[in-house]
Amino acid sequence: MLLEQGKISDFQLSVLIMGFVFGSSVIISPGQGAGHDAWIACALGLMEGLLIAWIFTALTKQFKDKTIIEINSLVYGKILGKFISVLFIWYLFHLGALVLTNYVRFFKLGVYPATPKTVGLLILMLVCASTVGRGIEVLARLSLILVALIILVAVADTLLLIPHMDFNNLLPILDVPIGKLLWASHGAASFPFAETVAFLMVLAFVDKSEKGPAAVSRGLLIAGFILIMVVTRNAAVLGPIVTITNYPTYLAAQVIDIGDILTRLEVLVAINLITMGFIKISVLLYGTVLGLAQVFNLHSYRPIILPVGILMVILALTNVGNTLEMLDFANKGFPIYAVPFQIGIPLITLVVAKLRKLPQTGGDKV
Amino acid sequence: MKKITGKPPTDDQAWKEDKQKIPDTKLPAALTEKMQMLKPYLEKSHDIISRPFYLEGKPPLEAVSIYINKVIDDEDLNQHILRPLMLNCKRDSIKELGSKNLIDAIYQTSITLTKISKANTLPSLVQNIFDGMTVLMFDGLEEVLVIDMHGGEFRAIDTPPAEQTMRGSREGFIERLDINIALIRRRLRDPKLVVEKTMVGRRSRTQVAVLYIEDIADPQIVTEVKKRINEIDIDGISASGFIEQFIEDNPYSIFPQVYATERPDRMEPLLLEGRIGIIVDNTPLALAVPALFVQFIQASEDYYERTLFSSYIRLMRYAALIIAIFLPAMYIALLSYQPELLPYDLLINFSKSRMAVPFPVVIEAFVMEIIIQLVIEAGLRLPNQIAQTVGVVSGIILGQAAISAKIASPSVILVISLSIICTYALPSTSMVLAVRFLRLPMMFLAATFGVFGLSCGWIIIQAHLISLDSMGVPYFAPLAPIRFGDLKDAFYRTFFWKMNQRPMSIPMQDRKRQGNTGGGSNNSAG
Repeated sequence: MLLEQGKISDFQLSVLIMGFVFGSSVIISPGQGAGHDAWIACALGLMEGLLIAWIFTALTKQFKDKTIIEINSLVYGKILGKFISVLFIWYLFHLGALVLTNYVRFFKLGVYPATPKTVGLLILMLVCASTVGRGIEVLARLSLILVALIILVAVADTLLLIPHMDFNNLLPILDVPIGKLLWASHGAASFPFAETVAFLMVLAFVDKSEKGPAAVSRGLLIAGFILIMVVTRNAAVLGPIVTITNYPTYLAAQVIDIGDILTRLEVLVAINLITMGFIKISVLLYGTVLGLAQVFNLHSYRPIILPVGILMVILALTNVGNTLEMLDFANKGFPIYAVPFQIGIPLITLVVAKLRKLPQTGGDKV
Repeated sequence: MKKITGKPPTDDQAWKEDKQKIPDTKLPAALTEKMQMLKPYLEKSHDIISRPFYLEGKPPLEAVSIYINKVIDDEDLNQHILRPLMLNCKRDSIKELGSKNLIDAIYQTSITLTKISKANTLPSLVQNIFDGMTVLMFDGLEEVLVIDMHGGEFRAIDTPPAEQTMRGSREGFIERLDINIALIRRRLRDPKLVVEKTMVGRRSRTQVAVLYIEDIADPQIVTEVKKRINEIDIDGISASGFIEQFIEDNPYSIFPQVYATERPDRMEPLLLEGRIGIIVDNTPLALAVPALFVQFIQASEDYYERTLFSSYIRLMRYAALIIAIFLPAMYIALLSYQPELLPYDLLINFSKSRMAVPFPVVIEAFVMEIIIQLVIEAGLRLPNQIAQTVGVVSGIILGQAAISAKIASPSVILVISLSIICTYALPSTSMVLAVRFLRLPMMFLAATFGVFGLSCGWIIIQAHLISLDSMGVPYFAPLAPIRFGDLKDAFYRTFFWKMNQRPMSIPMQDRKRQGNTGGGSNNSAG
């Protein structure tokens, strides 16, 4: 009995990764701690992200067509494996709630100050849940259309902002102390690039599994370059403000003014945020429910999508007190909190698997 | 007391066996016995005519022809059956020809019609009579002759009313299955074109033909289509829409998943791309599966006009699709949530025109939308002359009155009518229905959540489209899953000499469509 019959192509995987990385990173700019050197932090972060991606794709190379849950129970045995799996699922679930929080905070502040948070969250969650229920194939196909759209908007935004750019704002290069820069770049790696570790739940469904790792790096690279472009643009347009604003992309879009007709385009940015957040939350929700179904040997993950989704919403509503707390956690807490999940679990699993010489090349396929 | 319900009184198995109501007996030899046997089935149907006559000879052979009035061709009956049998058929001379069987001899020498078969059981006899065959029964012979000479009055081939073109053929399908098949066969003289007929409907016994090109169409899909059609267990089929609704993959979707066309010249390229045609008797609309979303935006005119113009018009149609679904919703979202997105002067104009209207934008737009939907519905079934009046009254008087009465602002009327016009720019009537249906929910989403709601709606529509299948083929291909090779005929149409391969989105066996003609600069003289 297969939980997921769908298959996605390596191209779709790349696009899905891009959508995932764009996710909330278009709201909270990665590498913001480095001020106008954020693009350097982003580039370094991208490298670290690629390194982490190399680790977890090595794991899927080792175990073909298996999700991290199945790999865990092979490597650590039933009890310990399930325990580690539950930890990993918690990471997916919590990350989903964090992304939801980002969104709802942004919404409250920027777009819909009068709408109750719960309503916005529930609507977004319903959309995600209905898509997750259709399986990974639909999600992957959908991401292509949405990602094409957001790249179009990101490029168009950048072009429209050219008159407002002042590249002197980027000088002097390497202004921040090296320690701060490295911290910011590690922050950029843990959010958003290394978050793709969630794809350990998806990589099993790539139809040509040997092409999966390359597809992951390709997606990360393209998304990284576009993010670097966006971050550089924001710094060039906003100048010193970029260090004090919470939502630089949103603010930069407000600057656009073409002949008094194309003005205040930030709502379009907001829409982009929703579509990208949709992909990220859907992937995380998908990983969570599929993981739970595998851990508890359920016949289908579909019945638990909505309950898990609603739990995610509740966690998103309660986990932080206010926007500043959220940003503080994103900048200071998350880079440390994420390490065991993003690097720890895949790396240790890989090492243990190598030591135990798993999977055995013999006939027994557990 | 047993309650009377809509369900058949017995279980499914018994219901199936019930089909054999007519006792399966062999026909007797004597003509009077045969007539006696047939009597209970025929006596209540006054449109069934039995015409006794004699074949010459010693003794003369008594015979009866039975047929349904006006279902057969009267002229054929007189010219090709009654006349030769009554005047020229000498029983004795037939015997001399040495045929073992008298009945074979009769039709081989004296009936000048082509489609003849024989029957020898009561059920097949009765069924054949009601299928509109002419039946010839002879005294002393157990077998009867069944002659297919369908005729009578039918609509002539006409221009298809809902799919007009400027440059294409003027022929449209009509209600007769055989003529429709012939219309396709005339265009597609390929020996590999397969036409398989089957019967659907317990009582209506409607003929359904499945057409495909044997070495192009995917055999799995062909089997699947045939299986789905054969599984239909219904009492009557009154239009091809019945078949469509039985074989479609997702009945709960509002998007059409079976392509219906009334143009044989539209059917031909569909068959050539590996699709499977389904033609139902008594319906001037043929079906084609698997259907793709993009197909419903393509018109046959796209292929008859020159490439650049066709591509331009097709892009326009996509714009129309987006406008038709989202424009009123966008208007609501912008005016009630994000007025700052509008240019300042335009916003002032909108607000000025809305000043006297007592309702919020949402109510205004909802009311106008519902009114216009009702006007369309009212105009649809009216005779032409009255429909014109209704159109004028609703279009000019109603609109003007609504504005003067301060119930609606001119801008909302503009927006709603624009979206209606865009709806009807789509070439497929079934897609028009889907779009008409989608507008209201989108307006509702925009009214409750503004642009955020709209983007949620956009995602839901796309996720839904992507998850649809038509005969197991992804419906939203070639857009998702993306097939770059097929995009040349999705948003625009490329030159014919560049379409050397069949679209991949439709599973088929033979990818190559045409050889390399070159075209373009290769053709320039000099």
